[in-house]
Amino acid sequence: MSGPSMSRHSKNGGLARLAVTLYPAAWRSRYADEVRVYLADSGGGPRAAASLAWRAIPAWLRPPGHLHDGPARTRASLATVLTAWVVLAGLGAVFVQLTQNQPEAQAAAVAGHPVISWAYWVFDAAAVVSVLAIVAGGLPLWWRLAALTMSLAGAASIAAAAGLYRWASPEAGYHQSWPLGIYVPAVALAAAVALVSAARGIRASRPAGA
Amino acid sequence: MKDGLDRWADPPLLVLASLADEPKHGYAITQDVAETMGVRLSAGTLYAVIARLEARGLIEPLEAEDRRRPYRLTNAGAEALAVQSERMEKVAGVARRRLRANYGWAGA
Repeated sequence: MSGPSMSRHSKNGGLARLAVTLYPAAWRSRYADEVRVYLADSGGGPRAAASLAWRAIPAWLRPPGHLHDGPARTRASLATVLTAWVVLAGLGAVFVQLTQNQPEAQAAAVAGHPVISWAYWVFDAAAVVSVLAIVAGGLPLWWRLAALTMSLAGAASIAAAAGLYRWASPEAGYHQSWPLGIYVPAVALAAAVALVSAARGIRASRPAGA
Repeated sequence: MKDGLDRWADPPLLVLASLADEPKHGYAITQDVAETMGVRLSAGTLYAVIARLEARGLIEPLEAEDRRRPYRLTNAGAEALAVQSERMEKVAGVARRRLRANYGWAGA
């Protein structure tokens, strides 16, 4: 094989080997080594790189059953959904704190647009319902955690929530918006629990030794 | 194949048919499939198929030889291949009869 040809071949093989890194850890642990040998035998090439990259998507979305701990994967998925939901709800709380709890802005908005005042009430109701849903959904994950982890996560999240609340509304006290006084710490606590659970679930879904 | 009909070839079936001969590692499977069935399996497709077939218990890995891990057909894999082969044989028989009757085809 000539120099330039070998260089092109090596570059293509490198791309294909790089594509292998796109796969989940469990898949790589089981197949990456033999795929590398396959690429060395076949010479790799752009077609191999493209096909490996493309097939990495279903390997994430619908991983082969024999590579994963199914229940751990389910817990990780559930915890990730809860985390995303909690983050969304938390950002909503900050938004309300930045807008609703500014006395002048609120008075002007409510006086000029009655619909807006109803919208705020709807938001508050949705916020309370979402907290209940998050707590209910998070309980099974909560029970799986050690007491020490829970205590640390709870203390840290409450401190973070208090800081966030005061940052969002430096002039407002907790008494001015009772739903948020409960809502923000609860959301932060649930977020901490969900994050820790997601991390545990994701670790558990990896193969032993990975 | 250059006519696009090779998309109808089912890669899992091709891999099962290749392993029905003897245990093979990945590269040997692609070579066998290309030589005997005229279909080129890409690396991504091959290992996606191997993972699925292994998960369903239709093939099983053997001890690796020089980092090349051969796979062999399981009994369940042989049964699945037999069922699919009979189905394909029926389709092929119907197609041949109708081609002879209606298009004057004189092939095998």
